[in-house]
Amino acid sequence: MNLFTKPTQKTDIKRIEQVKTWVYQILNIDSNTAISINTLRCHEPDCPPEETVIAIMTKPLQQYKIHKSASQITEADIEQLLHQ
Amino acid sequence: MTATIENKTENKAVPVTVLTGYLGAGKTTLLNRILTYEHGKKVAVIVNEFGEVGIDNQLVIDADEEIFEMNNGCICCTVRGDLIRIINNLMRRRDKFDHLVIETTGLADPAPVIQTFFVDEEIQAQLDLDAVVTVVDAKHIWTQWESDEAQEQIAFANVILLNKTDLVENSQLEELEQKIRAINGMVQIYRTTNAEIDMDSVLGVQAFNLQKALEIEPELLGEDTHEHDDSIFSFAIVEPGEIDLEKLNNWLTELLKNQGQNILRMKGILNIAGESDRFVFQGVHMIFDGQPDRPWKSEETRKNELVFIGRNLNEKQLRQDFKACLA
Repeated sequence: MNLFTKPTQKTDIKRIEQVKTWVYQILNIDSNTAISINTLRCHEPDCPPEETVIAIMTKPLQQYKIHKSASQITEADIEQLLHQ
Repeated sequence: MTATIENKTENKAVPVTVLTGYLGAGKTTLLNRILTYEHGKKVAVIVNEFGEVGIDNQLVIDADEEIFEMNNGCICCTVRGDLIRIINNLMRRRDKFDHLVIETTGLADPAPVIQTFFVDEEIQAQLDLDAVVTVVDAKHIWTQWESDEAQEQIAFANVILLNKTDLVENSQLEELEQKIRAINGMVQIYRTTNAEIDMDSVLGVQAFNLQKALEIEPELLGEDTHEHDDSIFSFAIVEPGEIDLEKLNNWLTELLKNQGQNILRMKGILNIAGESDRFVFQGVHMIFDGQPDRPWKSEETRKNELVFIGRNLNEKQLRQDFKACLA
């Protein structure tokens, strides 16, 4: 990975909203609970280049990780979180 | 591990001012000025001490500082969970305000607040971190100087109000400004009494806009390694010549991985070998944000300018390491 290479896919806010909708529905999250979608880009050789951290802002907070960028996340990826 | 961030392209992002300052410096006085001044902006405010804001404003929201680590195993990026919750709700009332001010506690570390605006995708798209404004009590800061929080608030500031200047001698103000600039060589300092300041100096500053000129204190621009009184200090590296991108990437990746916790802020312009455009970047701890900027102009000298603000950084080593990245 290269600090000076921009990601190939620009994050689309509508895509983020879609991911959040799936999280609310599939993980059965109360609509008043905030959800934070964060893409972290890693430059270490052994790490996935892009990782999305989904933080469900309950107390205590719950975090889920998907080893792809937020724009690549599918409904099936969120369903997989049920098994984590 | 390090992380990069995307730049937002939304045109109507809400500007956000982060207001910091040690206990009793005058943050609330400045906040009340922002809320009462006829600047034509509808300002929403997130405060930490609800009772102190004297203005009846339906968009004053109380926050309880809640820091959490965005943990993916090897990255360390702390963000403010309370802000994510509040902003999430606030953006449902987007039409009610056009500027957001976040007042932090007197003992707050500004880094998690700033990083929240760098990593949360929706916040990045909908809001624009405008500036960190720090109010410093010119009389009492001397007794607070050894506090980590007081120094961090100065280090992260884009704008400092050196407040209560009527209570100290001019010579003390000069000395204090020098100490502040030694910590933060990029900050704009204004001397004030009762936090009286032109609103254009604190709102709409665009300090995190990468396209804005890099403003380095001339004193920092020397090539020599400086002596530093405090553990947090800033220094600039200015080098002519072209940078080998691969060498620079390897160096910066290792640097952020090993020293990210000590690098509070960095910013710079790079002349990368083979590129016709300048490359501009900024960073907060392990988070790095960079992009090609405008083309170099024919009349300007191509050079590399970097500013680091950090804790116990090995300035001499960093200068050597950067030089080794030249093509």
